[in-house]
Amino acid sequence: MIQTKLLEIFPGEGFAVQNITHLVNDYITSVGIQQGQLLAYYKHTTGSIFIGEHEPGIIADIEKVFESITPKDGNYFHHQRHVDYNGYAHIRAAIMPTSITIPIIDGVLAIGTHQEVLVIDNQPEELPRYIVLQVTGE
Amino acid sequence: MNLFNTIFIWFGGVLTQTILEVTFQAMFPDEGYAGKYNERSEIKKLADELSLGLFSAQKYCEQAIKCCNLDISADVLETKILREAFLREPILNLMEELSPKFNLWLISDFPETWFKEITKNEDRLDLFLGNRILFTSVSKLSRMIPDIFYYITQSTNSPIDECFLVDGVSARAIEAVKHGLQSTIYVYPQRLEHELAMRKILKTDNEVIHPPSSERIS
Repeated sequence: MIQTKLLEIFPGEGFAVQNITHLVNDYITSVGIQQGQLLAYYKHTTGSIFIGEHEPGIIADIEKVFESITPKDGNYFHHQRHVDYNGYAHIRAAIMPTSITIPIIDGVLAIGTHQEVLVIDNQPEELPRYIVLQVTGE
Repeated sequence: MNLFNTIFIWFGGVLTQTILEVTFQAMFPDEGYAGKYNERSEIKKLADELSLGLFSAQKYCEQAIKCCNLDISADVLETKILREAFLREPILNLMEELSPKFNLWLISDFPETWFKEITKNEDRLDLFLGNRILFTSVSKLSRMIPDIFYYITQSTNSPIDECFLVDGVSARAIEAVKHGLQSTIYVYPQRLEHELAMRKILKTDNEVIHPPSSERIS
């Protein structure tokens, strides 16, 4: 069985993080798959999907690291196109994953105690963001 | 390990939905946000202004109707909003469990009239009666972040490093930590219980930090 869903979220503006673990779990439950795997693919170039812990201190630390290597107010060649001014967001996205794969065992995501499915997006304004969820298995 | 004495819990986003969520549910019950991104953005802005007390609930409803081009009255929308808002049972139970051991405070970004209407049948919220509810609309803050963190700790005379914030808005919870106020992001009830147990705010005999086989607790 292969089933696919497009998930729409609104992570927020600037450096924004959204926890989608429960949304992914709800989808797996609705599909009824017992053994297999989930592919989650982030469809944008200003953000990323990854496994992490949605703890405010960790997220603040990630933001601090990003800001030190790709400051929001930095100069970026991308801005010379004069379409948008989010060079920092593209660089941050380039060094983080755009997809994750998680085993599904006995109908649930086989994630560890502190693991959660998180989306980070750095787009300066809030826009809808889309994630392809695809489950494969039986 | 922090020793917390005071716990702040947001009403909108933790105990009930956010103002944005409940407004959209009232206006577009079956449609969600799809195709209404501008409307969502406008209502979010209005909700933020309502929380700061920049205008009344009636005016908020009028403005929300206007930006979505709906053909209903402000009174009808307000009634629908109040009907759509619900209290999360597991959070009420959790607050009841925490109340004997901690100074619990509710932060309501909903106007006082809405808060009273939504909670009127819930006896378990009696523990907040008197002065244990902070309404942001009367705070006279010109901006929510970071001023709210200092407002709530000063209003309750609580040292910031002895306080803990439960917030359903991820960005605000992250900003809180940057200002010295420990916080957690509410996503769903079991997750919150796990987080509170890890911080020893909730007592448990289970191993919650390094459980066997790295099993997921919630």
